[in-house]
Amino acid sequence: MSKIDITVDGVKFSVPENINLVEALSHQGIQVPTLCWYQGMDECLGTCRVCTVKVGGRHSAACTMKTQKDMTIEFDTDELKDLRRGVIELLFVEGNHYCPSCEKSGDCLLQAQAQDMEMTHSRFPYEFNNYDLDFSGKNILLERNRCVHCKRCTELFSDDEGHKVFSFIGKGAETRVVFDHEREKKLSPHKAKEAMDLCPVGAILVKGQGFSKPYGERKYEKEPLWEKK
Amino acid sequence: MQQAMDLTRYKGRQRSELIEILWDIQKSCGGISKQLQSSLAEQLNLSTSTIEEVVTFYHFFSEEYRGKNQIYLDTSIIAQHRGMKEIRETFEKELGSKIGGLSSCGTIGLFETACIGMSDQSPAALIDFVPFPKLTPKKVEIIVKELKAGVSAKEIAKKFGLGDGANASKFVRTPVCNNIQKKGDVFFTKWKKGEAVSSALSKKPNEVIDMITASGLRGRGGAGFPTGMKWKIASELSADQKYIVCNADEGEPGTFKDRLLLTEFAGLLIEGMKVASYAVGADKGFIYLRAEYFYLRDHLEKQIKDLESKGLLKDFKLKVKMGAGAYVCGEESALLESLEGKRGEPRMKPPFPVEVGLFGKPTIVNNVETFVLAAQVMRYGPQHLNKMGTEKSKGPRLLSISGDVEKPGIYEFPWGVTVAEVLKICGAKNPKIVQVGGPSGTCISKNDFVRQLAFEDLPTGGSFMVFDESRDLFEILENFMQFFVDESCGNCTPCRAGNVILRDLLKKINLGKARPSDLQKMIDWGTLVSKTSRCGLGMSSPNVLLTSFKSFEDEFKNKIKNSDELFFDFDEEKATKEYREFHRE
Repeated sequence: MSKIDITVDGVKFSVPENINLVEALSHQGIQVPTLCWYQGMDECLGTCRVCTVKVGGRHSAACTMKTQKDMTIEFDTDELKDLRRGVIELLFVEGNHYCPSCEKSGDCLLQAQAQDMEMTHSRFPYEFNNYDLDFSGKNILLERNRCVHCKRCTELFSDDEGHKVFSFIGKGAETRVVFDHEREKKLSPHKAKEAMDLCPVGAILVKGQGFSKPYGERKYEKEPLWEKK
Repeated sequence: MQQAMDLTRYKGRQRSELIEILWDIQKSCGGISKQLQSSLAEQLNLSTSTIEEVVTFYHFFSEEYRGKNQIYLDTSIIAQHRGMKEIRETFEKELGSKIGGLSSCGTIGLFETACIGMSDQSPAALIDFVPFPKLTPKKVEIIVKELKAGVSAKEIAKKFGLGDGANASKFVRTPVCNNIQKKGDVFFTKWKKGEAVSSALSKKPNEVIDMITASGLRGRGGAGFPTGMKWKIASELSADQKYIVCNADEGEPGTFKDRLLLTEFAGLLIEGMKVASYAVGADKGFIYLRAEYFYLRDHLEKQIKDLESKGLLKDFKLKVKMGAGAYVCGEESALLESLEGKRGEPRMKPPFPVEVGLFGKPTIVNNVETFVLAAQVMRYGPQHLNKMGTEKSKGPRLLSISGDVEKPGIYEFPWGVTVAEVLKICGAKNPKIVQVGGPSGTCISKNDFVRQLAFEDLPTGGSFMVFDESRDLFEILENFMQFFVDESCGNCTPCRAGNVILRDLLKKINLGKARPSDLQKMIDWGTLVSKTSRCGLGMSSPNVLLTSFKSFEDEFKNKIKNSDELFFDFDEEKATKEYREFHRE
């Protein structure tokens, strides 16, 4: 793969051409915070906007960009750090997130990003929206209070037969994640676990598995995001 | 009661036809129940949730029964100012129901919807998708009586007298008026069938594109991308299939100029699309028509047939496809999703639709007005456009003028005209606020009336709303912010969550409950939503707050002055500073 030069905050880097910008930067030791995107993803979702940077002077979600020759990127500026934290704060007031009582605490990417950004509070007023929980599944419990609408489950997850299981209904602030009840019933235990792990927050839980890993031994507790930096 | 329907007729139909099929069901059954959704899923070999995703996204589809007759009242601010409240109350009284419910007889549903493109003849409503402009309480009484007696909306509309021009023709037949107030010499020339197409066919495709480029034509949807450049990119790509798509999803509140073009200039529009197809080498095209303009579908199809029968659309297959009520589908990539039968959520850019568009193929998406002007360039040459306008905005601009003016309607002006000139010609008395470009545009006061309408100064997709001294700025702003909350697709965080917060903050200011720091918050939070959103909707929804604050700072400050002084400003950043420093160590 041919290498090209890009500039990040005034520093030149040589990176492969036409690869995902977040990935390219991570190889250079620059960790762009993400929520809907994760390493190894074929196509980005571009939904959460937590990875907002400036490319050529324009605000863009880094995960939606591919490296190109002579790209100029601004990343570590006060303005951009504030915007990215602002987006995280928006998610905290839109949903109802009570980390200490959450099954995913310590394994939750939203919580980890918020801690990494040193978020102590949200600048926005809490919405205290009402979300219904869906207990009716055989394997999965949908805790919509915590859904960040990243679309990982609706776009990337399929059952053993390759069928879509999760989808979005409604629109705007009324958008809700739902699952196909027939297909959910037939999910194998490993598939259900896969769905829970795919969810960056605690919205998709496997019944009876919420605390199978004790607090203290969870992903971001053992390996906090800032240690990657 | 929702009607049953045999859905086996849809067996094996394509996913891309989903919205058409759902329209069939919605219209014949009055709603698309969960049961109908799962039997349809079976016929189309899709999962039920795929159907549910689409049904719940679009405003005019419903899972619950919405009645044999469905009434949609226009909630735009213009309609509110023209007495919509009284109209609504009369409907509620006559039907014995409330907004969102069914009449006491159980067959007539009453609902609200965003601007239906009738701001020049407001208050208006859609009844079974037949527009009823200039409503009065008296007319409402007649309408309800007739509907209850089983008379069709189309028959009732005729009784109120048909509109002018093609509105009275066999294929339209509605009381809508064109309201052409100022004709210019670019749009309003006599159409000679086939002139634009034969002019294009007598040239090489690249010569056609060069003419469009030379005319300086820029997209009329609002963003103003150079049309010649778009066509050139598409023409240079090699692909087994390319598409031409006309964006007739005129959804920006206060805009209705495409309504006129679709009614009176449909032939030219279709010729413009054929010209584009020839220039870029595409053989298929779609007109994506907003559901609010359902009444124009037969008319458009008739015009297509006419041109086909004259042999003018050789090697070009053109179809009209309906939207189903979603402002965001005016965004070109969301429109393409909708054309593919999906939820109208905007795609990521890049890649742009011109490279990867409909069904992944290179696609030209242009506004109705852009295609009409492209056809005119073919007929009269590039100088027909570039002889007028400003340096960066060539040619004419069709304006839809509404609000507190003597002569609301359609105006042709050259780009570069000042707001003051426009106000004088349309007969605005004591104008206080002008909203240029609709809610996503710019809110200006008297100080800015010297400014020009142009991409380099005040851009507009055609909406021009005027409000006089008697109007309440905050009522207008709240109406606009509610619009964005309703129309956000929900895909990205800032637009979905941020617009709700901005609306609530605005309400708080309007109630006199805001603290001095809230004004700065409005600016900061609006900027955040604008800078981080995924598509044009979220990028531009805070414009109205940011620009109105600039234009009417005193009115905002007055709201604060009267607020309860017992509130003090608590600075959370400052309060938690020490903690954060400790934490960092």
